[in-house]
Amino acid sequence: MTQTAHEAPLDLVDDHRYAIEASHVSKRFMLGSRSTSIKDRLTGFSDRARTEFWAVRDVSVSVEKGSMLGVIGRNGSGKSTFLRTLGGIYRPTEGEVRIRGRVTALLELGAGFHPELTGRENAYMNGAVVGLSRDYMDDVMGAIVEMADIGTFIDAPVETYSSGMKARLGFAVSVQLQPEVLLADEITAVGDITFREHGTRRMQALRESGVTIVQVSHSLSMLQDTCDQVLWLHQGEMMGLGDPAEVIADYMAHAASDTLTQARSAAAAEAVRPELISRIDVSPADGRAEPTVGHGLRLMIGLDVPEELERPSLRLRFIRGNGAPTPYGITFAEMGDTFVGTAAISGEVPELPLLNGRYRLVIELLSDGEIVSARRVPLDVKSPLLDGDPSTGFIELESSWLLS
Amino acid sequence: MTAIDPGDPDLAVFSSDAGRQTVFASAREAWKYRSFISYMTKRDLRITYLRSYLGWLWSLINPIAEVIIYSLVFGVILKGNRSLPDAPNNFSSFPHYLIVGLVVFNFYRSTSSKVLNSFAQTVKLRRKLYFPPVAPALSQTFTTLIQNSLEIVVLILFFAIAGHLSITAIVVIPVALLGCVFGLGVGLLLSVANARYRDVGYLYSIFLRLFFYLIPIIWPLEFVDERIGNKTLQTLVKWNPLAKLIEVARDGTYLHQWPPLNDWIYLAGTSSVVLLIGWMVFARSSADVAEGLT
Repeated sequence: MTQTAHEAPLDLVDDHRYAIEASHVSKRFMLGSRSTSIKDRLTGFSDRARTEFWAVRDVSVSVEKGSMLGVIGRNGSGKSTFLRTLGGIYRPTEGEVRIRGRVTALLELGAGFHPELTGRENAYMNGAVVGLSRDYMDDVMGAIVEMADIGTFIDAPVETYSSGMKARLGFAVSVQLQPEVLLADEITAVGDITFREHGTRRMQALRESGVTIVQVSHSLSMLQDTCDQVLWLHQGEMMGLGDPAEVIADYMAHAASDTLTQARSAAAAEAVRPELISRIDVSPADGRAEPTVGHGLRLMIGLDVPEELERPSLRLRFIRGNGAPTPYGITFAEMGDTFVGTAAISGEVPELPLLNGRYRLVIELLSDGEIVSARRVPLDVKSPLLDGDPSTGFIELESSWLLS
Repeated sequence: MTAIDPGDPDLAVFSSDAGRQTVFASAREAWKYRSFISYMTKRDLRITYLRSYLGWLWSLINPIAEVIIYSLVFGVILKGNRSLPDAPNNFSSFPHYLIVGLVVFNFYRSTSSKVLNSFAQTVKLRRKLYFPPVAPALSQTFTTLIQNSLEIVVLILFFAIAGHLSITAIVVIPVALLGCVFGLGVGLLLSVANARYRDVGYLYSIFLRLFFYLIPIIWPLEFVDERIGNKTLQTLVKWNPLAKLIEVARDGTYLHQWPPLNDWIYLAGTSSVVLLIGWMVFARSSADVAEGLT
């Protein structure tokens, strides 16, 4: 069968797969004291003091319907601004956002609640905001009350609530409002551990029912477990987008090196030169295809140092894909009192004590106790038996068992 | 702000050039958010007298108190009750003449002041929820319309008790609506400026107080011809839309006559123009000011 020229352009067909398409989105704010009186305006005081600030710069991301996007980054990196842009609360200064479906933005739980109305009244009112009928609200009210778990407070004015209660009710109401696209800003961070687990599970259930979710969070392990892709913002710019484990690992490594550089002077930070470690080879020791739990790992590190190092040493650390450290590190210090030129250092770990899963191997070169070079390589550790989810825990304990 | 793709009603596009809205787009978006507007109206009505013992009775007590105070001060003490127009059946009562002006002016005053503040008041909420910028203004207008309609009840009762009620009194209903339309127009015109410079709100409340005495509320319209020599000034005071609005209301309630068609046309025309200009200015600048960009 031959197909003649298609009537619909291809990109339009593609469009419908995505609930959210942000293309080259930038958001600029004007900083400085905004004049709120005519006197300031006339005297021209404030205008001169204002500078522009790009909270989000050239961010593009497409989110497929029914998938979950996690957004990470340090405080002030533009995460919330970006989320607000997706929700139409801020217009992009440049670029475009296309949204398909009814958006519910959970930027602050309980936003829009009136303090003098009761929790129940507020829930009904919130339903009215998104156009749900009273009958529907009657039906879900039981579920809201149960989920919020605030007991008789449901019929007390919201102003008498604790912030945790308000958040729980806000969350309970929002997830019952049949969102199609849910934008959540750090919402499971409030409340106690039960609420957090409940909230995370609830988000997962929403996603399974086909809701598209964008979630800003600092809870990296939760994002790694639940998201289809992760966007990492740093000073408003995209630093990474894609596989959650990889992006989160990069972010963690970046944060770690940031902490490191903050602890030292700016001059010392500039002195860290990755190129001094010219080569890193990591391979299984006993002819296996991949690094495997309990089997050997062979390491080869090439150095190319143009200037002399004092009391040089090499430090190796294993960190988990989600950024959690492992108790394992290696220090190699037998390099003489000084070192300059090129060298190849090889070593072997006879039995890898790590569990299966994703890791990063961080290699640092030190001179007189100061880090002069640092590099990271990904490391996928397979289990000889299991083929699937990473095991629990951090390390493989040596043990013997008897079945009787 | 929200551009709806005609071929795909589910798709919302946010981009920088969609910021300046036309009145038509703004109105259409408000219609889409009508349940939100009605929610805000219900909420405002619900909380108005939430913490008071007498509750809604205050909506009846306030206008009655106003009539008593103004009748005492301007009627009894300052003898403002001279030159009242001749009503049928030799009816002559300064409080009845007064209450019409007060009730009509209150529709305008409440609407315009509430709308003027509505934009600045919702700046915080706007950072958390998306809703059309014009929505709070509309909900405040509906709130005033419903709340102040109790004053119409007071007015009707007032005339009924005096035995001076006629079917022509029904004109106060369209007059009240027009008062709200004027209030909405003026409020919208100033509300964005007020969000940037609170001075606007303070100036407006002073202006309202002056305006209250400039139009024939506590003094009869006949004073204009009697006391103002300047012809242009006379016309200006008489054809001020709010003075006209009160005059039309008095025709129906106090004088028992149907207001002339010309007056209705004049009022419908001026109120539409005021609303259109106010909304246009609002739609052009509201999005930028909401984000603190200007």
